[in-house]
Amino acid sequence: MQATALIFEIAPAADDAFDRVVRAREEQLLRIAYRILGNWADAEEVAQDAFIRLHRHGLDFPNESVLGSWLYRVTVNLCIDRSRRFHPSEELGEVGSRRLSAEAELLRDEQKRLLMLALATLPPKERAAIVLREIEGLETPRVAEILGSTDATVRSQISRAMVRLRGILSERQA
Amino acid sequence: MNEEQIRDLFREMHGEAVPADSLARVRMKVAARTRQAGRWKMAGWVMACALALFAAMLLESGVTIRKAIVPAVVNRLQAREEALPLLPAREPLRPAVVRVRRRPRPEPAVQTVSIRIETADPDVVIWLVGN
Repeated sequence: MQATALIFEIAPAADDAFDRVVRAREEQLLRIAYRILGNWADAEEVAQDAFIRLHRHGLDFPNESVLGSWLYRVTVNLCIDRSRRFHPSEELGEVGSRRLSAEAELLRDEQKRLLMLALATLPPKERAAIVLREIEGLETPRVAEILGSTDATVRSQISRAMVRLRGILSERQA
Repeated sequence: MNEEQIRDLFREMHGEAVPADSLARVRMKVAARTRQAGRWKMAGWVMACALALFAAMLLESGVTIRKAIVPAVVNRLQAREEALPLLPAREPLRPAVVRVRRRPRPEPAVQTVSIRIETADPDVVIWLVGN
């Protein structure tokens, strides 16, 4: 009976901390998942799965940075698994809007759409490296840690990916 | 489009907001799934506690039953034993003794050697006897 009472006392505190982590990280995880997978429905599922794994794992991390790396790693791995199983869809609608002139904004949106389509054609690991390094702005060693590879591998993946993206975009624009 | 332009676009993408409905959906579904998981966990604990309680009760009742039944059974057995007629004391059984006749060992044959020496006197004869 004492054990049950103890669980009732602990559970709300743990849930509050978990909720705080979800609120702090949900946008980041969704954005990464969307950039790797190319559609919001899959990105939402991946973000959910990542948070559920965190819930099962518990919040026993030495600091925020380790927790962040762990979440990034889980999300990226889930995205890679999913993109190996399913082909990227053609959704790739752009998010948000900027205060540019309507024409410039349309042009920019179109460029981004094309860039996302080109990104979707890259191999999953290269795509993840580009998203983490170029879109999320993480340092190369951190990207390497998240992807479970070396700095040199990440650098070569990014450089290869950039060459491919340039090639695909020039073809499409021509 | 050159590499710098591509990087500019990527940087812009970083600043873009995620659709609010997607965020809300993720938050709601995560909350629902964790609540469900929590409920299962709680149900598991409750079941475990109930099982432990049941086991303790069973153990306790088993001890009580044993305490109540064992002396009664022992007393009944003792009473039954006392009520039985006494049996005549039996002679202790001994194993039959079989006497085995041993053959006398043959004595080793002793050869005696005797030498008869006749002297000049016919009444005197010398016997040399040896084993």
